[in-house]
Amino acid sequence: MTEAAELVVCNGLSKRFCRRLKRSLWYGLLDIGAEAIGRRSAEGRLRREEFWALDGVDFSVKRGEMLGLIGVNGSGKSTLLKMLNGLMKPDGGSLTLHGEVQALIELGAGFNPILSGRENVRINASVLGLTKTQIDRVLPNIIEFAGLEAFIDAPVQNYSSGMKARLGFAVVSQLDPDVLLIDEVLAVGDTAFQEKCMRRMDALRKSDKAIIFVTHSLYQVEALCDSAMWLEHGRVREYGPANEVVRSYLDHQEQQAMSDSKDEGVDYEGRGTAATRAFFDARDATADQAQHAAKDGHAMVIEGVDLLSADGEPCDELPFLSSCTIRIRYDCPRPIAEPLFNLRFYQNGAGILEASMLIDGAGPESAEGKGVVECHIPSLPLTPKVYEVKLFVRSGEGIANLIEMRTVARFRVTDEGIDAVPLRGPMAVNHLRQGAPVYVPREWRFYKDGELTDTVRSSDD
Amino acid sequence: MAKDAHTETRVYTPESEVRHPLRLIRSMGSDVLAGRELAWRLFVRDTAAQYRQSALGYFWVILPPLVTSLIFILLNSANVLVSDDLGMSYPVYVLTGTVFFGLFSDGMAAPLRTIAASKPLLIKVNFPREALLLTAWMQTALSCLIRIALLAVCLLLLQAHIAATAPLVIIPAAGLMLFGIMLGVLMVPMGALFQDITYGMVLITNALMLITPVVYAPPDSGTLATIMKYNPLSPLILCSRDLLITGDTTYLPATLVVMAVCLVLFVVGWILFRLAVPILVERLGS
Repeated sequence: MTEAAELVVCNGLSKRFCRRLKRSLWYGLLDIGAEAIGRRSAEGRLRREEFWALDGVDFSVKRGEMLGLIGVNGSGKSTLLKMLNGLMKPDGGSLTLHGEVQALIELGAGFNPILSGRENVRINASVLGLTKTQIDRVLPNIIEFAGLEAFIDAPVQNYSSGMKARLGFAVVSQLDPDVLLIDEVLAVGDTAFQEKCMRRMDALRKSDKAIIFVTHSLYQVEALCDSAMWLEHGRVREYGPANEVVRSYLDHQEQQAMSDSKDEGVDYEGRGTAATRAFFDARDATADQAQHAAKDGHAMVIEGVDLLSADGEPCDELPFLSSCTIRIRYDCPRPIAEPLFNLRFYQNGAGILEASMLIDGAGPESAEGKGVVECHIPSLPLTPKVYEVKLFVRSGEGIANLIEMRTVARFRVTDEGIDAVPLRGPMAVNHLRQGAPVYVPREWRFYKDGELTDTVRSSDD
Repeated sequence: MAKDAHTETRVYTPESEVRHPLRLIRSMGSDVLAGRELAWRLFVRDTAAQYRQSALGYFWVILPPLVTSLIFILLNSANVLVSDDLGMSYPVYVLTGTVFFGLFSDGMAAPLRTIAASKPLLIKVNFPREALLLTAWMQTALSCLIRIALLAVCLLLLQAHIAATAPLVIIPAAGLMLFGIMLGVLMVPMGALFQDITYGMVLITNALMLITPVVYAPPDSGTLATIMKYNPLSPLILCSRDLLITGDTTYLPATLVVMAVCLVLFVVGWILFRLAVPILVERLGS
């Protein structure tokens, strides 16, 4: 075997699952029967209510290589890991593993609540194949790694879930296999413990193992893995260098989020609160009521909102730092004094940018009938992510929200036109995607002995 | 933990293990060896956990047969049951019967119980599955020791005569455990999938007790007599009791034949168990 020997080779691996429990149990019994007489049941085809949890998966992992498995929930990542761990048999294809295989999984669930932490550690270590002498040797390391010295002789039922998870992971962290399978372990414990786990994984990666890593943290995949495999409905959607796969996966996820939001639609109809309507009804008591009847008493109706790109076309994708315009078409059945439009940009549920006439100052003194207002932003200071725009309209007349806050647009900033520094090495990640949403122009100044030596300016200047 | 990566290569394919019997037997043997230490730990864990949260502790092992015996002794004193010519007093007959039958019923329940207790590990860690069978054996052996020790105490209290052949009881006692575990292991593939087996186990045990000479002697004729005669458990129970109390048994050959058959069936059950575990893991899920 050469230095870069393939430790894991997976050829056309397939696995089928059943959607219904009773039928699944029945198939299980049939499968056991088929095993016992040395035959395969329903070879290569699906029985009723079955689906392919994995379908023709091919990949290989060399010594010293780390492969990240990504994909949405139910895409087959954990199933693949279980098969690599020999817990399940393939229904098609083959899987070859050289050397000792261990799974780094959260073992807290296997603890017996009545027994002490120390007893449980001994049992788990033994389950993982350590002998008594080996356990005696690594026990202090395990307890130290978990950081639970003070509680190790207390029954596990008194542990918090985080403590259990830490202890469970500490046990597996002491193993030294050739092929290591890691399933979402870094999601446990507090930040300090997660950092400890990351360091341990980096150390393992450097010690010439073949590592297969399942996670939802794309940051970790980019930071730690050499290659990545994107699973979708049990099939390999993309397999290649980690940063490339993560990038297409992110692109896909963002596009998905955009098209999902299109299905949801946006809600333009301005209704205002009962208090708003009461306010205007009182004000307009003397006016001709019939004039407003068609609009059901609304003070204002939003007829449409468009996001326009730099060339004035409606769009839902904007290049980084491009100019854009949000055009609002409204109709005021009743005369309104000082309409004040407010746009708030949201990312991941958090408001991050405000474009508000409450800050910028009032526009026309009044509005009546149909009209258009545009908010032009010369250089949208948002990093590549998906954003949501909410609108609310107030009147200078006081208490009234003419339009309650509502979502009027969703769009995505692409990383088109960004010349970020190409990072090298294991911790290289796509910083623009991982970073915070708001971008400000800036300048970096380097000094030596009080003298300015270098200046770096952000790209938009 | 120095090791040689070249020593171990695993290939997983959809093909059944039984297609390569030699390889199957070899890996069964090596897994038993590899699982010894783990089996001991699981045994200690389950035993400690089973009684740590109970005030009476190990007394629970002997309590059920004591209660069963008392019930039948009461029934007998009310002349509900006919039992003459037992060769020993009725309380001794019932007590020995229920204790020995307990070895069988413990053995039968052990494999499924062990699997249930280790399910969280079973579906997450690939350890030698044989450890679970060994644990089942250890648990049954422990309860056997406790039952027999307490039986001895009771027999002393009853001032029963104990025969010189008493140490030989170990043979039919081992047979009873083997019989129970064999049935238990054969039930694993079905029992782990369908709860019905666990629910039905109590019924099966009770029914078996009534068609075995546990609480009354086999009648001379009739359907029950025929059933008891061909019930493979009968010679084991009768042989145990005879060796312990009267010292004179005609059931030893039958006992040995039953044990041999049980051993063969146990190996069959073991192979089935091996084949079934990956499928159980996949069906029982996360």
